[in-house]
Formats: sequence, structure tokens, C-alpha cells
Amino acid sequence: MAPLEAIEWEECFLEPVEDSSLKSRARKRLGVAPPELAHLASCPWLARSWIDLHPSQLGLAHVEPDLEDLVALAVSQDNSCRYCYATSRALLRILGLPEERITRLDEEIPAIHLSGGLRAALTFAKRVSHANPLPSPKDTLPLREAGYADEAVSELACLVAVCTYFNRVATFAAMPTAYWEALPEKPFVKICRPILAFFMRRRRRGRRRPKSDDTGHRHPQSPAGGASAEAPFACAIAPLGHTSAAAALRQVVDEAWTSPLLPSRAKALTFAIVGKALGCEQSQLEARRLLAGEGLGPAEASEILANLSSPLLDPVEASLVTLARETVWYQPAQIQRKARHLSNAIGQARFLEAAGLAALANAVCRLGAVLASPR
Amino acid sequence: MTAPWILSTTTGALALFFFARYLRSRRHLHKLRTRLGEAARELERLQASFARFAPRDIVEQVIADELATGGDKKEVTVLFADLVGFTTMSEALDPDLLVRVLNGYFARMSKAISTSRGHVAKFIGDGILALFGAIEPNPWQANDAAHAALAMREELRAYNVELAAQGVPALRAGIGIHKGVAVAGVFGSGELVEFTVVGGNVNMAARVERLTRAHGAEILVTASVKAALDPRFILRELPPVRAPGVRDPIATFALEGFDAGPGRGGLISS
Repeated sequence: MAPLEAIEWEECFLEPVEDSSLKSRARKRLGVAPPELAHLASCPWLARSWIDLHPSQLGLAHVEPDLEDLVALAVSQDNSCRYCYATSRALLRILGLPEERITRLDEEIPAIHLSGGLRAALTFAKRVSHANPLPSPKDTLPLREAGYADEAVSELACLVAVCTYFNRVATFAAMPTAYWEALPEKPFVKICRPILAFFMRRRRRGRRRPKSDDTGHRHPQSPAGGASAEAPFACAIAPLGHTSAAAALRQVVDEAWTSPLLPSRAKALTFAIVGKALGCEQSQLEARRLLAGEGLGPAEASEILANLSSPLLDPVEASLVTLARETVWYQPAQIQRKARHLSNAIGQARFLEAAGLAALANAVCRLGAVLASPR
Repeated sequence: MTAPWILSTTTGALALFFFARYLRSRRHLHKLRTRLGEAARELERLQASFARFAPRDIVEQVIADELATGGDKKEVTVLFADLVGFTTMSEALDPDLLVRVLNGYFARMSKAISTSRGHVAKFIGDGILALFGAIEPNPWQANDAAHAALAMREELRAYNVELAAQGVPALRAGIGIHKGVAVAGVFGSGELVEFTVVGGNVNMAARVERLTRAHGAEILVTASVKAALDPRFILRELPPVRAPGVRDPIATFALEGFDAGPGRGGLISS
């Protein structure tokens, strides 16, 4: 039994929704429209984030593509995300790594028989993803000792955060894995692998140029990806500075916040609870500020955060509070069963938004915890 | 004519021989690789299973260093449960039935504990030591432990109905809960290692459990637990009582229930 197949994974319970504009956006940005994208389409911002937050779209200038792939593999392995694990393995196979070598990489990552910067980067990725012990700025010290500059550290933290986001969305939605697991063995892929690898590498080389959005505008080069300090969780994104990654993350947080599917109070509560579970002071303060803006006083917010329940919460909010807590550490199959139950209760679109928010909170709070001042 | 024939036949035979040997060693190598792969996967499965009982970092440490020597100070909530009068009952019961009754009890209690995000650190005779916040950081550990205790009480009631149908006397458990700092780590020798917590706060939970008999209560919590509990837990203050090994009397509160009211229940179970 291969490790990939050992991960217990439920059947996907989401109905696919065809969206041609989403497909063309994916083809334009990623070069391919992943078949599972249709499962996320009922929550537009979440589906767009699946494209816009893809590591290849972050414009990471200080993290080599090969390291990026290994980090994605290590984080998906740590989060037991069978979908992301399958996509990472398929990508590595197409790029020319033999199965045997990938299996060895899988086995070496936990034992950390790697050396130098690679070892420091993968250890950092696992620590931040695992969050036990809780992530803190101290986690970046071994990276700096291994010679990583501040920009590279920030980019690595962002990459890990984004990978934890993808892992969670894919897990909560129980994304189908069959396509990616079978992809490297398909005769067409086997025959055309060198050509596919050539085009993929060429696309990667071109990715470091600042990207444009669909309307042709460049991402603004102002602090925290073009947001004011008042924008939700600007403080957590600020350490990424003027980068494309900051802009992409900023855009996703803003779109999630302005989405009409769930009330803003439920969104702030989700971030507050994940921030508390991850021990991220900065995110908790920011979530409390947003809750105050929604009319929830400090005492009421404290009561909810202390007890994860309150007579003030409606049934949907009470469910989201429970879900948020579960999303920090979980067993995939267990949380997928709960997710299915919640999706049946509140509807697919609202469930997807809730799952996406919890995943985003996990990413943003990890980023905030690791890159918090003093750096 | 004969010499070239002998030479070509010998060469052919030798080639066939070496080709057969090559095939055999390839098969052998393949078998070895398969076995090695299976062993690695088995180890991985064991590691995954063991990770349910100890933090993954510690499992990796144990695998890498054979025995981890480092400890970690953590704030944990300790739940100690013990069956009241079980020693007397065990003398009267058939050994097979005794094992069945006790295993049934452990299974139900363990489920109640794990459902509330706790983990059973060990069974001590008929006692159970469960920890909350020891494996993963858990800011809601006191509430989780209190919910676990109430779930254990319910499970035991249901189990007693089953036991009564088999003519087995009802089991009665005392539960003590205390919150404080303890040292978590892997303890033991080469032959037997376990992940657990040690310290005065762990012993305190066992002492509080003993007080259930004196107070005639099923579940007792200490002041440190009460301070962290959701106010909707129904608590009854009890007079402080001296316990062996503790200088000052211990203030405890009987945990009687939870008034869920509106807002507790979401659309998914916690």
C-alpha cells in the first residue's frame, strides 16, 4: 500500500458547477483548468483563489521552483492532504523526477536527512504547517542561520501559509484525487512528458515578472499589497511588503470579506478562533477589532472565544465557531464527515465560504504568527 | 569443426547461465526492494498509529534517538477516573467476565474522552488517566475535560443498563479534574517507553478523584478548572477537605451538568 493511498479520504460531496469564465481564467493563468475547480465554483472568491493563490502565481522571486515543489509536497504530507499530495507528486513526475526518487524524498523529508538550506527550509515548512509547538518568529531563526535573506524568509512563510490554505480547502471539500493520482501513468502523459516538462519549466521561468489581473491592471505596489492599514488583517500581510504574493493574498482576503454568502461577524469569529488556537496575538487583536466593528463588544467577544459558544450566536455562527476550531488540527476523514453534514445543513455555497474562510484564517494566522515583529 | 562447435556451445551455455543468474538476481533484488518497501510502509503505518498517542514530533524523536530525553513544560488539564469499590467486586466476579466488564468500561470511557479532544495517557488498574492539551495546544482544555467527564457519566449510565441485563452489579466511577503545569515527555527505559505527563498537578487530579468518596459526588473539579470553565457548567461549591500528601485543604466543586441553553448547539456536532 503506497503512502498516498493510506490516507483515508471521503468521497467528494460537492456538486460541480460549470463556469466557463472560471475555466478560461484558469487556462490563462495556470495553463490548464483543473477538473475539480467546478466543485468550488458556487463560492466565486474561493474558486478564483484556487487560481490566484497558486504558488506559480505568487511571483516568488527568492524561492527556487524546485524548493517550492518540495515545500508543497512536505506541507501536504504534514496535513495529510491526499489531493495536494497527489498534485505535487504528479507535477514532480511530469517534471522528470522518477517515482523512486519521489518516494525517497517522501521518506527523507520526515527523517530530515537533507542538508543545508534545503533541510532548514523543509523543517521550517513542517514546523509552521504542523503548528505544534505553536508557530512563532523563532521558527525563522534556523532559516536565517542557513543563509536565507529576509525576503526569502517572508516568501517561504507565505508559500507555507498558502500551501496550508490549499490543503485545507481540498481536504474540507474532499476534492477528488483520482485524476491526479492516475495522471502520471496516462500513456499520453508518459509519451509527451518531456514536452510537457519543457513548457512547464518555460512557464515557471516567466512567472517572476509582475503579473497583471484580468483587467490588465498591475497589482498596486503600496504597503500590504495595496491595502490601507484598516483592511482586514493588513497587519498579517504587511511583512510581505510590495510583493505580488502580498497583493494576491490581500485580494483574496478582501474578496472573502466582501462576499455576501456569510455575515462579516461570522468571518471575524472564524479568524478570531483560529488565531486563538494558533496563539497568534496579532490576529486575535485584529479579529476583535473587526468584531467590535460588527457591534460585538469586548466582553461578548471574550465570552465567545473562551467558551466557543454563546446565546448571542445564531445556529449558523455556532456551527462555524465549532468548524473553525476543528480546522487547525484534524484527521481528514473525520473533518470531511463533519463538513458534509454542515454542507447539507447550510447549503453548498455557504459551506464552501465557511471552509474557505477557515482555511484562509489558518494561512493568515500562521503568517502573522511567524512574521510578527520583532522580526 | 569440432573445436569451434565446442567453443560456441560453451559460450552459449555460459551466456545462458549468466543470463539466468542475472534474471534470478534481478528477481531477488526486486523481492528485496518490495520487502524493504513493505517494511518502510509498515513502519510508517506504525508511526502514524503511534502518533495518535504521542505528539508527532516526539514520535519522530523516539524513532531517531531511540529515547527522547527532553521534557516540555505545558499547561494541561488532567482527568483521573477510578471505579469505586471495584476491588471488592473483582473478587466476586469470574475472571473472564471481569476482563470483559472492565474492557467494555475502558472502551466507552476512552470514546467519551477522545470525542472531547482528550487522550487516554494510561490505564492504571481500573483507573484512567486522561490528558487535555498535552498533545496539541488547546486553549479550551478545561471545558473539553468537563464535557468529557459529563459524557463519561452518561456512557457509564448506559453501560450499567447493559451490565444489569447480564446480572453484573452497576459500576460507579469517581472523576477528578485539575488544571496546571506539568512536564510532558517520553518516559521509560529501552524496553518500555510511554508518552505521559508528570508533576504535582497530575497527582492532584488523582487526589481530587479520591475526594469524590468523601463528598459523595461523581465529578469534582478544582478551583483552577473552575476559573477556566464556561459559566454554563453547573457547579456546587464544597467545603475544603484535607487530602493525604497535601498541606492545605483542597477546595473542590461538584460538576453536576451543563445548561446548554440557546447558542450552544450548532448544526454540526462538536
